[in-house]
Amino acid sequence: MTRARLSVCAALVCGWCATLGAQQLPTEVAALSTPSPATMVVFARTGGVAAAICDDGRLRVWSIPDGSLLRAIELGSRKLDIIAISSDGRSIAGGDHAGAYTVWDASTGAPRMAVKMRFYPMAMVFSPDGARLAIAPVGEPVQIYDLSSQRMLVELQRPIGGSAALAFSPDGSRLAAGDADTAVRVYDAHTGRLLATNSDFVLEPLAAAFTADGKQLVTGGADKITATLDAATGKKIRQSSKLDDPVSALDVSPDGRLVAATLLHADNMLMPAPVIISDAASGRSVMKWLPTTLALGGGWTADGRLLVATSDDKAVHVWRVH
Amino acid sequence: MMTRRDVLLKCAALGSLKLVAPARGLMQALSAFEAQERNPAATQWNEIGPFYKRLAPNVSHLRAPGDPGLPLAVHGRVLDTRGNTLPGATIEIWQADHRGLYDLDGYRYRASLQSDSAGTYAFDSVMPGHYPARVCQHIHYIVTAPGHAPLITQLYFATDPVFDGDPDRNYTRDPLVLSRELIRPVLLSGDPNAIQASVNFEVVLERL
Repeated sequence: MTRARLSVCAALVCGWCATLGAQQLPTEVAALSTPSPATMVVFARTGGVAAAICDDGRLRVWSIPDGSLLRAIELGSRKLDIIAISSDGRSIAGGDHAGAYTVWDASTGAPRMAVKMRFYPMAMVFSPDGARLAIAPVGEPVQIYDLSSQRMLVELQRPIGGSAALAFSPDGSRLAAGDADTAVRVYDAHTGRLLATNSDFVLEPLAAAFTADGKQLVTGGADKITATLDAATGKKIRQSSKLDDPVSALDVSPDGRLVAATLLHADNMLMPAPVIISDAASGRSVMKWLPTTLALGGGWTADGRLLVATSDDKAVHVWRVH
Repeated sequence: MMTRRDVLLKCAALGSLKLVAPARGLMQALSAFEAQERNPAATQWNEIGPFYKRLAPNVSHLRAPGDPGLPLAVHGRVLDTRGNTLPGATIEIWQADHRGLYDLDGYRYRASLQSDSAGTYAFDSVMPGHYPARVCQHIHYIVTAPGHAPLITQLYFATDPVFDGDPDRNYTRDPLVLSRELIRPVLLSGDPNAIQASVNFEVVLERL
């Protein structure tokens, strides 16, 4: 099976949902027109820009919620595996299966940086200020690039198998990696120095997200749990009860109160899987939602909305889940 | 036990090898085989996939009695790039069951083996099914030995219907299969009611 799908957040459209407290149902807030289906969608933290890899070989960028197409970047024969977007929506990074990586200016479509690596990407993430990009090529050490100079700043240590999940701390000073050897490691994002390690997982941690204060790290993966770690020591503070499936994506709300976890249908990752919203402090589940189609990406916006995307052959559908 | 040299000479003697200039051609072929034996190329890397699990048991019988699926025996040696066998190497393997499903809750079809004094390893399993989000049948490997670079790779099967009987031409149908070399021939034996598959997969590690 491919791990590239793991960077695609699984969705939450319709199906069933269970809520505690006030009922809050997902609503479609935008339909982004596209002539071919999307395979991955990312949202800027501002909530104003969405980008998608489309089957017709174009990287499309839309304004949301109005849905106007800002740019359709022609990729030619390149097949992008995954994309990432900066918090302000101004930069979009894409890595293809041949190991070529590009950062585009979202408004003009012009390349800002191009890097060639040995292998295709497993994970990519911009620093919160959008000035740096961390890339985890499959089986290779994570590299952090400075976009203005287009130079590599630091290469992290080499875990067996590489890293499947990356997350910057809110202040950009640290980078967490979920590694294929099943460890979670926290590094100084400027020097590459290893700061903390957690080895409690026996299967691969596939997702990681810092809490809003940067003091804790929420992780999850094929062990079918989420675990909250002390980001300074790596020590586990608490863990969820066993979930039905692996955790493929995690994101913490801007106010730090809620954690969104997207699961991965272990027996067929192309099938839709639930999204669970839980209370960050207690770990208690607040909402669980099973989509009828596979979610292709999502995340919290700065104003506290949780957006998730699905797609058909006419549009990318943007759902507000919280 | 016959060596590759013995087999080659015997084949030549039986006329199985077509040699343009018999004596010279045979020697060249022998030299090539012997060079490969002396300095085998390191086994190609392949991605680890998302379902590696630590602490797998040291068991060579992964297939329990009555398990459905085509019985599969995998064996091979662990070598270095000078052709030396590597006793005591650790070979971690994991695979999907015959339906293409991985066991994440336990350790079915997972093992951590050690190569023996001759550098050989073997395990009994079933032919893995096709995982729904993946093109080819495959078995994952992590092989480690002191003084050698760890190897992560995958074993594929020439009989996989995905290849339409022509893995040379069709191996790129799975974008994760980066090397034809990892697709190994499958020996089928037994009567039609009890067919057994057998695969040899030698693993070559790079010295540090």
